[in-house]
Formats: sequence, C-alpha cells, structure tokens
Amino acid sequence: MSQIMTEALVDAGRHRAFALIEEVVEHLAAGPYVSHIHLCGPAAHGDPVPVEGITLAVAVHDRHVADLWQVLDPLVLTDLGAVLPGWQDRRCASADREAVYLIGRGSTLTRLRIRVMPTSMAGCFPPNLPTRLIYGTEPAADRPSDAVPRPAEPGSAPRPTATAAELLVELLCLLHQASDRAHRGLFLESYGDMADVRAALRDLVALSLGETVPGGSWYGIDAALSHTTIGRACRRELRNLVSSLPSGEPAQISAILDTCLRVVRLTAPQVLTELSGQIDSYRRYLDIPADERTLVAAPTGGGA
Amino acid sequence: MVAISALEAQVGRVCELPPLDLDRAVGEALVVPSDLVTEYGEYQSGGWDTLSLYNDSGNPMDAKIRDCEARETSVLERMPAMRRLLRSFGLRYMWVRIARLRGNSFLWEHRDYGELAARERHRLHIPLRTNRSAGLVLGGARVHMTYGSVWRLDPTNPHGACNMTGPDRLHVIMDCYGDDAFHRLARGMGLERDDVHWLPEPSKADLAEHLDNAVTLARLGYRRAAEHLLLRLYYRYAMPEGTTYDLIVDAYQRLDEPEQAETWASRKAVMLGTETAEEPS
Repeated sequence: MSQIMTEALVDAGRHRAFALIEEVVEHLAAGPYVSHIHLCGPAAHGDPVPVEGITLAVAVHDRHVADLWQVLDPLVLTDLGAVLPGWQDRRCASADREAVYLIGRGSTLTRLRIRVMPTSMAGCFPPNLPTRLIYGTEPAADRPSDAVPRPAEPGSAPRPTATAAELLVELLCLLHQASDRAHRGLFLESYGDMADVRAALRDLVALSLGETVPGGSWYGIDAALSHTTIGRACRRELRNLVSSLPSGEPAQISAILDTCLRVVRLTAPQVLTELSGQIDSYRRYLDIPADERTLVAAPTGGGA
Repeated sequence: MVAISALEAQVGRVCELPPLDLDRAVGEALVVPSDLVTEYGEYQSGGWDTLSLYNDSGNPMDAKIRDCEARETSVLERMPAMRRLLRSFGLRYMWVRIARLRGNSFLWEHRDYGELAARERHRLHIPLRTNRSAGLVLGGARVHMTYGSVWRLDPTNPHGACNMTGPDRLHVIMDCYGDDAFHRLARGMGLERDDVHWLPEPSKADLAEHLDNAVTLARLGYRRAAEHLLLRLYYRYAMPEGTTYDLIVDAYQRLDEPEQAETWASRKAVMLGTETAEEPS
C-alpha cells in the first residue's frame, strides 16, 4: 500500500470521529442557552477515537440546567439517533447529570458521554482532566452566570433505583466498552468491564424477580435465586457467566450477549420486547449474529 | 387498530426469492450505485434517498416518480444480477428505485399516488439490507419487511416508514401497473402473526408528557427535535390518522406561535392527501 493510500486511510478514520464531534456540537449548540462545550479526555489531545469514547461537557445557562437535563434523552435520541436511551454510569461520581449514549454512524458505534453543567461552573474540571473548549468563548471572560441559585452539586441527591430497562441499557453499554477495549488489546480493562456487565445482570435479575440482594453485592444471591424455576435457571446462567474468563474474542462477546439476553428474556421479557429493535441494531453495529433463541417476534418502537 | 385480515389488504409478503439470486443482487446494490438522490424532502426527516433502476428517461438520477412506460436506466447495465431479478417478475414497471433509509430516518405519516391519474398500480418492496428497528407503520401496526421476500404495500392508505436505530436500510421499491403478471405474483400474498407488531394506544398522560418534552425542547431552541419528537410517536403508538400533526399544532399553540400552528395544520392536509401535493415515496 502506498504512503498516499495509507495517509488517505488515516485521514478518513480521523474525519469520521471528528465529524461526529462536529455534528454533535452543531446540534447541541443550536440551543441559545448553551454557552460552552468542552471536549474532555484523550480526545481533547487529538486522539480521534479514545477507548473511553467521546466526552462532552455542555454548559447551559444556570436557570435552564434542569430543563436541558430533563429533555437530553429525547434530544439525543431524536437529533443524533442514539441507539439506546442514555445510560447514567453509576460508577461515575458526576453521574447525576451525565449520560452515555451509543451513536451509530456508518458501520461504527461510538460511545458519547454528555455531561450537563451550569454556565457558572463552565471550565471547572479536575486538574488532571484534559479538556479543550470547542464551542463558546473562554469561560473566565464570558458572561456572568444567571442570577439564580446554583443548582445542587453532582452527587448530592440520592439516585433512584435503576429499572430493569435501565439496567439492560447499562449492560449493553458496558459490553460495548468491554468489546472495544478487548479489540485494542486492553484485556485487563476489558475484564473490569465484564465484571460490571455481570453485576448489572445480577442486579437486573434480582430486581425483576423481586429478590433482595444486599446493596450491589453477590452475597446471598445463590440462596435468593433458589426459590423459583426461573430463579434457578437464571442462577445457572449467571454461574456459567462468572465461570468463564473473558478473552475479549468476538465469539465470546457474542456468547456473553446471548447469555445476558436469555436471562432478560426469562426475567423481564417486556423490556426485551421494548428494546428488540435497538438490540438488533446494536448486534449489527458490533457484527454479532442474531441468536434466534433471544429474538423476540415483534420489532420495536424504541425511544420517542 | 385493524384486524390482521384488514391489514393484509394493505401490506403483505408476496413471495420468497431464490436466496442465491437475491444475494447476488444485494452484492451489486451495495457496490454499484454511488450517489443517491434526495427527493420528496418535505415528507421525510432527512436520510432517505433513491436511485432509479427503471424510469422513462433512463437517467438513474431522475427519481421523482410519475406515470410512464419505464425502461432500464444506465445504472442497471452495471447490475446484471439485479436486472435478471427484476426482469424475472415479468411486471410492467412504472418506476423502480433503490431506496436507502439511514438510521434515525423517517418517512412521516402520509399517503401516496394522490396526484396521479386513477389507474391500477401497485408497490412492491425487496429488502436488500435491513434491521428490526426498520419497519412500515400503518393501521396501528408495525410491519418489519424481512429479508428474502418480496413485499407489497398499498401506499394509498396512511403509512410511514422508519429506520429507528440503523444501520442503513436498503430496499428496491418497484411501482408497477396491475396486469396478469402482477396478479399471478401477488396471488399468495399474506401476513404471518410474527410479521406484525400491534402498537399500543397511548394514554392521555403519555401524550401529555411527550407534548411537555416537545415544548421544553422548543423553548430551549431545539425546534426541529421538538417537531421530530412528536412526529416519531406515529411509530410508537396506535393513534387516529394525523394525530402527530395535531400534537405539533398543539405545541405551537402552547408556545404562542399561531403562524407555525397554521403551517402544520396545512402540512397535515398535504401529507395525508386532503390537499393536492407532489408525490412522495
């Protein structure tokens, strides 16, 4: 392959990632109350497709923070075509107003993390977080914040318990992340994501079967799942899942997805029905063949 | 909501295709066409474009359909398997297009053929690439046209098409005239239960919540998202004809924008064929 062809390929790859960032910024900045948008993480240093995905911190006039957060899901689903509703990463301290979306473009699925923050806090980031202002003027020289009380700091309000649908979305986002990392040879990080995938599945099973499992742990789960036929079937699937070490091979990612969906089909079939179209899209972007046992007959409507 | 037998009069699977012939045609469709043409922009969200395989001019970029005696376009010369497949039906074509519907793209609720002369014509689809988030919505149901079959749609009833979450959907759309060849082909048309997903009816609270969200989006400056949020409800709920347009009118009334409300009331009439308009998909 000639150098020119190689450069063309590299340019093409860069273009796609940056084109997505440009597109997202164009959509978000259409709102007149959005004052700043920062690109955060390695992408701010020019890494076009960082393993963390793309993170944007969107500053909006203080009095409109709650409004934007309320309609962020409909906005991203409608304008940007996210494959799944936003996932609030429970592992993240600032998850109160932060959501992760999977955005499909061409044949690629990209994780987009959007953090909504008040203009009065624009530019306030941890010192070790790389950031680059990509929309608006430098915060220090910008307009004063609106004359309303500053909203509660992230993490200050108790978070509601996740629903089965939210846990399935979390599971799918984590599996995408695990797959992405494994493809880049980051097997240890992928292992960590896989552990979180299993934990999300455990929580989904416990929630759907009405079992009480002490706060996000595996303690007592064997006994809790022993009472019913469905519980025992789920316990078998979970045992199989935890007994295999993740290698990140595509076939294994596919097998893990199938196992998770079989369990969801047992415990929360209505959720699988609601998201069946999105899950099929997810499979196709990840090039994971459909497993007829986990398909549901009805195509779905998806987000609003 | 209509019964499945009534739905079958509007949409259905016509016949299975020989897998090898279809695979070859798909292979060509994925590599041969380069630029597709955007037509009927007012009927869609963006992301729907076509290339003609049969029309009266022979120019594949000529994609606005009309009654004619169609001939093969120049692009079909480079697609021998597709040409064989299309010829094999023996149909009298009015127009044949390759249509791409990208992810997160929609043809909003509308009626077709409204401005064309009264004449027996039919529309057939061959899915080349699809996914389960893509479908046709009509009569309060969503039908996913699966790969491997020829499908028929009666586009004179209100209908819409969607590809919610992608990847791209690629179909061949064949408009043809009613003759013996068509009626022979369509003789076995029908629907199986698994082909149909009946949409739920929305509660008043559901609609109120969506309307609130749309108004909030518009107030934040995201007017297109607000409109699309409401238009997309057609693919989620079974609702009386034109409800999504009425919701947009409601939203603009709440926003105290009577001119926009009036515009959407007129647009509803155009889309649903109660006012003369150009032919959409």
